Amino acid sequence: MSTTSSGFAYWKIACIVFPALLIGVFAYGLTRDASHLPSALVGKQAPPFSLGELHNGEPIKRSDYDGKVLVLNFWASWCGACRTEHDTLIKLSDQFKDNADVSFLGVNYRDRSEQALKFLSQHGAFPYPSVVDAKGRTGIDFGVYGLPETYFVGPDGRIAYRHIGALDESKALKIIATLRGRS
Amino acid sequence: MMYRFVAYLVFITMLTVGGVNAAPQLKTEQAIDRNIRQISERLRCPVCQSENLYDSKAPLANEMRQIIREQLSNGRTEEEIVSFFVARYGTFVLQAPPKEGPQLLLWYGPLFLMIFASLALAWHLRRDDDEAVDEFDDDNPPEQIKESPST
Repeated sequence: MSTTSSGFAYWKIACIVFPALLIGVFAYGLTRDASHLPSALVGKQAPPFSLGELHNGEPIKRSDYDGKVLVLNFWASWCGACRTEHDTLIKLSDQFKDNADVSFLGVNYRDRSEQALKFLSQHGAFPYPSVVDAKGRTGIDFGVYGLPETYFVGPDGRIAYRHIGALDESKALKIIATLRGRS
Repeated sequence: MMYRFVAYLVFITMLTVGGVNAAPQLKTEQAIDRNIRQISERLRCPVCQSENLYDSKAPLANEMRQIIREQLSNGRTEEEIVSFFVARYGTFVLQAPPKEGPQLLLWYGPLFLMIFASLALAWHLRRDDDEAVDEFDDDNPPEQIKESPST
């Protein structure tokens, strides 16, 4: 059997190194944020959709935002974390109200329209439209797991980033700035 | 009498024709239900903890099963439907991760860990035996050996 210069067999080294490596990999996996789920759609074209607006039912299409940075936020009245990020979204979108190259769109996901409207009247209306995805089909097309989820779509129509959970303003501003730089 | 006989004949014919027409449809529905179960057992419910799509009662899982039904009715194959969900949720949506790339570690890592642990144990036990033999001093045998009667 082959040995090292000190007479230690290679298989003995493997017995120590390999399990240590494997345990290390599994231990690293446990330290990672379980809410950070991989998105199959990052880097790919945002799925097309045509949904009615929450207030007036007017159809809004994904293609209406071609050539712009689109911040697409999935929300619902029954989602607790959506309340947490509500003010952040209003504040954030207000900063871009004069910028034609950045748009915000809400997707009211698996909710009742009357509940959603009540939520907006209680917590403040978004300064941008929301579309209704009552059955969650558009959510499934985007691979939505849980709410809230925010997708940042670049001017090229590709999903650049996906955020799970309540949105962080500074993080969102950085992503938008990066995407605006691409246009 | 004749009128009754004709009415009876028409009734029987309708029943038979109706049954014959309904049978393939029922068979197709049963086949679709079987396929829905087969496919949804391969997929994970995205909003549940360790539950497949078939067992889940979550509204999202229900909608996903409805999509499977629609796609089967449109003639899509099992693999096409599974790919449809993988394209949206990634391989995370599969109950069994694919045997490729980093997932190989999940499939075969524990097996290798067991093999190496067994080898390490064998090595440790052998080393203990060797040390026991090395500690045996021929000039000063233990008391038990000294006192044992010679044969």
